[in-house]
Formats: sequence, structure tokens, C-alpha cells
Amino acid sequence: MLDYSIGEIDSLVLKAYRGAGFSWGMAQEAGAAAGWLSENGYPAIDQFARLLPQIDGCAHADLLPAVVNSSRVPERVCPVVAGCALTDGALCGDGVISIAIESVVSPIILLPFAVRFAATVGQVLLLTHDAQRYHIESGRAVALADHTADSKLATVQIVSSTRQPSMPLPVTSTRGVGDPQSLEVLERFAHRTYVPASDASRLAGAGAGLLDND
Amino acid sequence: MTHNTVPLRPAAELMRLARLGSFHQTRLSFMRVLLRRLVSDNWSFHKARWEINASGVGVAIYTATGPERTYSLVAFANDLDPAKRSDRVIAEEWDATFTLYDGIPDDADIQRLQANVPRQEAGRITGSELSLSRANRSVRLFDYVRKQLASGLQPEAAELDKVGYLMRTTAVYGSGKFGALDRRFIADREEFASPFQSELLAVFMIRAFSVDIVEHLARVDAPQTAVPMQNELKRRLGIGNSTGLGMAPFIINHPTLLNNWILARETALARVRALDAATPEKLADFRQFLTRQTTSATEWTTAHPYQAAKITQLQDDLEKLRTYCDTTPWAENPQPWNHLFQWAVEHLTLEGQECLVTMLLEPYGDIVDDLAASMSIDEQARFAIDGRMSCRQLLGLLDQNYQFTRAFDPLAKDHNARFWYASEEKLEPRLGERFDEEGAEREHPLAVARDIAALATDLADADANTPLAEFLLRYPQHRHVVRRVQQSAAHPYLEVADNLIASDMLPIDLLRCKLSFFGAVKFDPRSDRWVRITMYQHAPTLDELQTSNDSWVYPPLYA
Repeated sequence: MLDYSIGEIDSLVLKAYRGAGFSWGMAQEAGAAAGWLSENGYPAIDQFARLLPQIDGCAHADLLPAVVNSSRVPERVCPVVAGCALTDGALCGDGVISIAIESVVSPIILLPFAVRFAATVGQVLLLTHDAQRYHIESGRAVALADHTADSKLATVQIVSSTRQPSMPLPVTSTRGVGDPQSLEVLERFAHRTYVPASDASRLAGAGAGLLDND
Repeated sequence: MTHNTVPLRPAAELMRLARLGSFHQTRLSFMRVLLRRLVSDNWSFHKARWEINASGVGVAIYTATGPERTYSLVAFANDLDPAKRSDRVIAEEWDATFTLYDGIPDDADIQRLQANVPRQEAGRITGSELSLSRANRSVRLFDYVRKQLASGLQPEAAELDKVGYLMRTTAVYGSGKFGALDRRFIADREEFASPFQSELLAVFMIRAFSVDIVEHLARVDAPQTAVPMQNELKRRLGIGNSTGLGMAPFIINHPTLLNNWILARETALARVRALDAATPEKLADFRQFLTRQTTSATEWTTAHPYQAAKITQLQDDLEKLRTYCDTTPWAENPQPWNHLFQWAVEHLTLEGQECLVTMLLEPYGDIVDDLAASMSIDEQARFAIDGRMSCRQLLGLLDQNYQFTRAFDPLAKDHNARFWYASEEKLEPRLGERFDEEGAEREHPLAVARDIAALATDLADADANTPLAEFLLRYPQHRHVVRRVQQSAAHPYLEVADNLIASDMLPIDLLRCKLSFFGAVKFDPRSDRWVRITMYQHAPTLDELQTSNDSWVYPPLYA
């Protein structure tokens, strides 16, 4: 398995998320989340490869958590869409936090948003989904349970918690890894953001044409 | 020393593309920052390996050792078929390829790099590498120098000056690219505190390689007669670079970083303008730089009409400036530098005005060089959107910092003429004609003026008290510009105050702005979107660094 720089993963996920039909600003959030996940040892490439086919071409409004979804109870919730609503403060106020988001695809992707949200509201948070629990404090997240398989659509709970006197430091990495098949999925989505070349664009688009060997 | 402060120039005036495209290198440019550090921290360089055969093929390693660490430039020399030599990003083979290794590579590393570095974008590097680059020989100069040295003669200085370099880099990839280590993991190393220091360290050593390889080939050609090049001539040779559109989006995609570059430069200018008096020593310094800058301007040539006209303007401006300095008692004014600067604003073109900025900073390293430390930024820390801000507050920021977008007319064809995109072929940024070419639906978010205008329209429709969190649930398409507008509150110089998809927009202005901060000189546009530059010309060689001074960027006053 090849390893990738954090910048490569951020950039690939940004393009892939955009390729799935979302705005550039949302795609920036997806890329940043993928970078954080990789740096903190989570399989960002695999998680986004799992997410994108399930939200491909969906409207942003349809992927919002139920609490801010004006149209209906969502079939599935995108963790990036929910994560932005969370960090923006659309899901709750600054008081005691107690949020439940249902039907989340690839729920681990919500973790970087919860870390940022915790810093914004200055609280210690506990994020749980399936059998997973994450303690979030001081800009870091520590997994409290061993990794088990995620359910297809998870309910994610984010609640206020209390400081832990000796929180272990999470193991961070300067590289990210991904399954080759996952990478292929992301590259297929990213590919939708590229413009095929024509003879005219080959010459004009980059502005060549003058002697370049002198 | 300073009593009356001078305000910073307003962004609306400063950040116009035509002005940014007239920027010159300064004391705060990253090459000069790097060389100052290499000298002050007593760095040493060593040619650790030279295994290059008679055809000019092989590997060379140069090490740079500072107080705490060693870095190695690993160079792969190639015997390139001249028919394959191209500066364009579509090239697949080069005269030489390079990587900057973090430490000292062992044989296994070199083997791994040998299999990847010569392939450039088609290969992979790892977290042990900090940059990836390549260079081609200048056909005009390389063979001439090789022949001269082979026959025991030094090349003519005038011939060297015509080109200014033996080799030209055509890409220097850094942070995270093609597998390299991300900048954020080395940002806490003192030697890399300023932007692009690892890339420019590599380029500084590539310059040495370009001389070593020509000397090597001259020895191969004529072992009996060949001579090495004199140091004085070596110094006249920098390293060229050919840069296309690939670099242009960078300053749009890194708005807070751009702000810090501009803010440092403007703060430096304001500090000098605010000085109450100029001592005779500083006046003499300034006069010397004016003379050397004038020489530099006469050495600057281009075939491109846009830049050719600007060079003529610069030469005229420098002449006017000299006359004014010679014939008026300007230095007796209170705040003399401010007086001179204001005179320039009234009498000189943008080229001359921005060149004066460069010259005003030169004598005052003691009060401006500390600003180099403020030119990096933790972009991640400024990424989050504050969703509690109201639509009214955001409109206030638009009013304050985005007046330039008011002129954007969504219905005017020439305001919407272009679109930025990534090409499928090379995944490189390109500029297309919206009404003539396919692909505009895949446009990249660089049309800031247009996107801000669209945001303003929707904000005006929303209840002013609505928090952005709620606004963005409805309008996720504005998220990228909401981020910028919020960043503008603390970063006044974050935007290029022009329409980047206008029919008359010149990408070379964006390139020049960025490259001037690198420390490049002799901008030579080859079209409206591709430019050649020179780096490190007149800089000390690797072995004389410790006896050099910081004003190397200007041609010396040859007796």
C-alpha cells in the first residue's frame, strides 16, 4: 500500500467531493477533514470512498440532519454536510451540548468537525456512534473503544462531557494510507473536475507556442 | 527614531493586478531571507558525491549543513536527446532532475530515488524528501561555456550576461507534492520558518550543480586543456526558471498567506517612510543601490511587448529619480523618504514606484528584516467559518474590503470571458475562453469578484440578523467566499482587487507578484501566461557564502 502526504489526501478528497456535485466551499471542508483524519491515523481515503457513491449527485439540502432539514426526515446524512452545520452552530447553541444525528454515512468523518466544534464552544465533548466512543478535549480526540465495523447508517451522539485528568496523546502521523480500490473510487470522482484537452486548449490554455528550447 | 507613523497603503489601491505585476524583489524576498540565514547560522556546503560519467550521466549529491540538520540535494544528470528538451509541463525527460532529501541518503535511498526522481510527476517520492524539481540546459549558453572551458578559455562576461544562467528549472515542487513531506511538518524548523525555504535551498544548490556539470563535460571533451570557471564569472550565473499558469492560482488559493507577504512588505515601507531623517551613510547607501538598480534595469531584456514597454518605463523612471535626487534638496524635508516616495507616486509609473519601494528598504535592514518572520501563516488555524456572525456583519466586511467587486457585471461578456480549470492531461491549471471552449461547468473557484457579487445579492435578500450558520444551510454555494470575507477582517491584503476572469486579465501579473516575493529578477514573459525569470544571479557561490554580503542581488559595481 502506497502512502500519501496529507496535502495529497486533502487535495484528492477536495476534488472528489466537488466531483460528487457539491460546492467548492463544502469540498474544502471535506478535504480538510480528510487531512485531519489521515494525520490522526484514521482511514480517510477508505471512508470517503465509501461515502461518495452514496451521496453522488444528491442535493445539499437532502443530506442535512433532521433537526435542520426542513423538507423531510433524510434518508441519509452526509457527515461533511452535518459537520459544517455543527461547526457553524446551526445544530445547537453554546449551552450544554446534546445532539443526535441519525442516518449518518461514514460517521467517523464527523470527528474532525466535532473536534473543531469543541474548540469553538470551549467544551469537552463525547462523540459516540455504534460501539465507538471518542473523548474530545483540547483540540484532540482519543478513541475510547476498539475499532469495530460501522453500521451502514449510524446514529451519532455528541454530548458535553468532563475533562479527563490524564488524557493519552493520540498517535499522529505525517502520512496517510488508502486501499488501492478506495483510491480509484476517489480518483474517478476527482476526474469529473478535469477538463479534457483539445488541440486549441493545449496551445492556448497554458500559453505556450513560443520557442521553449533555447 | 520614528515619531510620526505613516499609514499603510490601502488595499484597494495596492492590490490591483497592474501594480502587483510591477513588484520587484526586496530584502524580504525569500531567497534573500534564506541566504541571510545561511550566512548568520554558518551553514556549510559539501559536494559529497560526484559519480557522473563521460556522457554526463550519473548522480551527484550536495549537502547543506546547519546548526542542527543536514539536507542533501540529490541530482540525477541525464544525456538528453535535444529533440526532447522542452520547458513545458508536458515534457517527460530533462537534462537533470533533483530532490532535496531530509538528511543524508544511504545507497538504498539513492536507488529508490534513481527509480523515481528522473520520472518527475510520473514517479513517487516520500516523506523523506522535501522537494522535486528538474532543469534543462540553456542551449544558448551551455554549449558555448562548455567549448570555451574545454579549450582552456574563460567565457566572455558579456556572453554570460546575455542569458544569465546555464540551466533553467521548469518546476520546483514542494510541500506534499508527489508524495513529498508536507510543509507543516517542517514549519517549526528555524531554517524553514519563512515560506519556500526548502525549495529555494534546493535551487541554490542546483545552481552550483549547473556550473559543476559544465566544467565536468568540458574536462571530458578536452582533459588536457580544460580549465575551471573563475569564481567571478560563476557568480554572474544564476539559475533560470520557466513558470506557467500552474503557479498563478496559488496566491488566490492562499489568501491569508498572500496577506502576510504583502503586509510585511508594506509595513517595512511604512517604517522607512516614517523616519524623521536620513543620515549621510543611509543616503550614500541609497545612491549606491540606485546606481546598481539602474545597471540591473539595463541588463533586463525581453521580447514581449508588454514587459518591454514596462522596462523602458522603469529605465525612464530611474533616470527621473536620479535627476530629482541630484537636483533638489529633497533629503532636507522632514520624513525625507516619505517625501521621495510621494514624489514618485506623482511622477513615476507603477514599475518605478514599486522599484523605489525595493530601494527604500535596502539601506534599512536593521529596521525591516525582522518582518521576514511574519511572512508565514498557519492557514489551518484560520480555516473555520464563524457561523454566529450575522449576515449584516458579513455585508459590513463586504463594504469594507470588497468594493472592487462592485464593478463586476454578471451580464457583461468581457467580465465573464475566461474560466480557470484543471486539464485532464496534466492536472495543471489552465485558463479557458468561456464562450468558445467546452468545460466551463468544471470551473475552479478563482472568480472571486463574480462569486462575491453573487454572495452580496443573496445576502441582501436575507434577513440581516440571520446568522451565517443558517444562511449557509440554504446557500452552500457561497461557502468558499464567505470564508474569504471573514478572513478579510484580520487580513486586509488577502485579495487581488481585480476580476480574474476578465477578457483583459494578464496571468503574468499574478506570476510576477508571487515570483517577486521569491526574489526572482528579469521577468521575461513568453506570452501572457508564461514567464521566464532568473534566480540567484550575482549570489555568492557555495564556498564563498560566509564572506558575502546581503546586497548580492544587484549587479556589483564593476570597476
